Amino acid sequence: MRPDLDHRVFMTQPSRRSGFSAPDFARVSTPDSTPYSTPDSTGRMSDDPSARLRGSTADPLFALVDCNNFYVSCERVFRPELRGRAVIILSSNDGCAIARSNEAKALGIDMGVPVFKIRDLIRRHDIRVISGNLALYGDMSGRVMSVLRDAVPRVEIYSIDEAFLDLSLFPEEEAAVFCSEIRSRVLQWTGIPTSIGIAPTKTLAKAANRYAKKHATDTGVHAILCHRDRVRTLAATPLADVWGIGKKLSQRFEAIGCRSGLDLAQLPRDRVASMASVVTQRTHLELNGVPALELEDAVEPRKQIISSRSFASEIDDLGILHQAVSSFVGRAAEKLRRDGRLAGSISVYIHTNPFRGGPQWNVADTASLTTPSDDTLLLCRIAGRLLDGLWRPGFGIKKAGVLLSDLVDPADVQRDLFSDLLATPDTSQNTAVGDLQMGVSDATVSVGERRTRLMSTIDNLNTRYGRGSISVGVPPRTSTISSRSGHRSPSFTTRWSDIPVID
Amino acid sequence: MPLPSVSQDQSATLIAARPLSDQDRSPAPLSSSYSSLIAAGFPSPADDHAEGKLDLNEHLVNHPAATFFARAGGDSMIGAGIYSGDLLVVDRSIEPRAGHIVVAVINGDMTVKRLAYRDGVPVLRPENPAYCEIVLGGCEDGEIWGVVSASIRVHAP
Repeated sequence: MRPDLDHRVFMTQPSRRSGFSAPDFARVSTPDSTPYSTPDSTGRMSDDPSARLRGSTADPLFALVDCNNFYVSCERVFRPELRGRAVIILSSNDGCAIARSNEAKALGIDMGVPVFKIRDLIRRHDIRVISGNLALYGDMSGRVMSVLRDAVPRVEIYSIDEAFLDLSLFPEEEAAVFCSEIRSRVLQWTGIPTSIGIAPTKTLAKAANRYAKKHATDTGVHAILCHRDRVRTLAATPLADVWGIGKKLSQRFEAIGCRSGLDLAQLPRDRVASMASVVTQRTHLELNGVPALELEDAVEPRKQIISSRSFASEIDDLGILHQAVSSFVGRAAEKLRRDGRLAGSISVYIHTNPFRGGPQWNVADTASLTTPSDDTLLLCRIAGRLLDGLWRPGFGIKKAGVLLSDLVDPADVQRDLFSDLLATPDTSQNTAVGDLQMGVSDATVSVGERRTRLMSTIDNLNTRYGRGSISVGVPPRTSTISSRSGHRSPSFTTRWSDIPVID
Repeated sequence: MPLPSVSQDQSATLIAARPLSDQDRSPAPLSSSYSSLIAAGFPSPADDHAEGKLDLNEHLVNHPAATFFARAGGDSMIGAGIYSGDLLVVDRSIEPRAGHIVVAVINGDMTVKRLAYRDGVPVLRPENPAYCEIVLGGCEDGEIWGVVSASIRVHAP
């Protein structure tokens, strides 16, 4: 990496901007009161094709960094023999293709296709099939995001493989060069190839990114800075590929002749308002170069925590299902405690296999807790009761899950008078855990405090000795329950036993 | 569905999913502040002077986002003091130069060798006379994956 990257960041980002003011969405619904000068009241752009979209460097400028075929790229970092070959990554139970290399895409393999439907194709073209290893992808994602955070002060992590960067205050003419330096740094440091789209709105940055992937494969960077760029890019963007326009919405607009992002951008604003929600009106503004969405770099606390899994084979045994649900509760509660939150409700759901004919049994039930809790043992018992209520014999259950919701901050909790009374220590209940409790049987602490310590002991042990070392109830790791993942890559970056061996 | 009560559960028990070995049981994890292990008595006079512990990561990992661990296999680098089983710290942020020990990808396989240049052409040199050097950019399809910034040998596991 050229040493001037840091220098450039330092020179061009002298101070952290407080962020541009929040868009006033009230104006969006009243087309005539628009304060924006660039598009006229119909949403069309000015006539000068080289006119800059940004009025000044005080206006926002975004970059969207997207990792190319991220899961496949992660595998290729450590398995170079996969480069240049058709590769697909399967979902956790080896059901569907959730990522494809360009070579696999070229063979016509669709996103999400069940693997049993493409067995012939796989054999004929010798496609490499890999079970997704999310521990590896999560670690690699963290590395990519860390490089991005070092490069710019404000980053919004949009998904495991995408991030918006705030390039405001950046001279436009330097943005593309800077982004290609970011791109080569990410590639050198992590081995992950990326594409970057640059534009004054997030929606245009998304479109620019897609354009970079398809048409600027040599540089990997595409910028929309003037109206000519915008028109060229949006004309090449099918409507369904515009950020925020789904398949359904695009069909509605295609019915009136809108096929590309440009067609939508050129619709009069009131026409869009008559056809779609305020969200789509925002998209329409953004396509016309008017920023309506801000960088969201503040971390919103999670609203809910899900732990679920598809089973390798269908389960028709309540006992085994109880084991599975207990292990889901354990994992979800661990995440809950890591976030420092308490759950106000817990739901359990069980599903039969939708690909199998015959009667289906897809049910869920929810219980509210009188006092929000993060106690694995308590949550397990409630989940167990919910499961008993949902269970019907004779159905092979293919998937089960646990959802913790109504998450709250412990400081906001109205304590239940009876939930935390000093209790007479009952050492007998601790014998099952023996010395693992490490002082939990101290006679002077409350039941609540003891539970808190027990939970943190469990979390520490699971962190030290690997997930699932300690769990509630019965051992969950039988061959029936652990999901099927026949061709999983080693966890090259997260397990000592899995690091690559190099001759 | 009746609301479950929130009385403390007595029935669920904890079990270890696999037997804990003696190694797992001891020693107890050291917390960062030793004083918290002392339940009673006089406070330690050193508490006010706590400085945290030395962290090997600080010493060995300069760029965490770019640093990967690998294990050496084979004996092609014994001359450089790298033996089979040694832990390799590979820092991809380091620009490879002549003399660096590097991880390279040759025809889809990874290998550890010393990087050198002969007439401007990069070559990978083993540090064991029993092995041949590899000319990069010749008939071999290769690239440098990362620079080995440290190797670690454990003498008494």
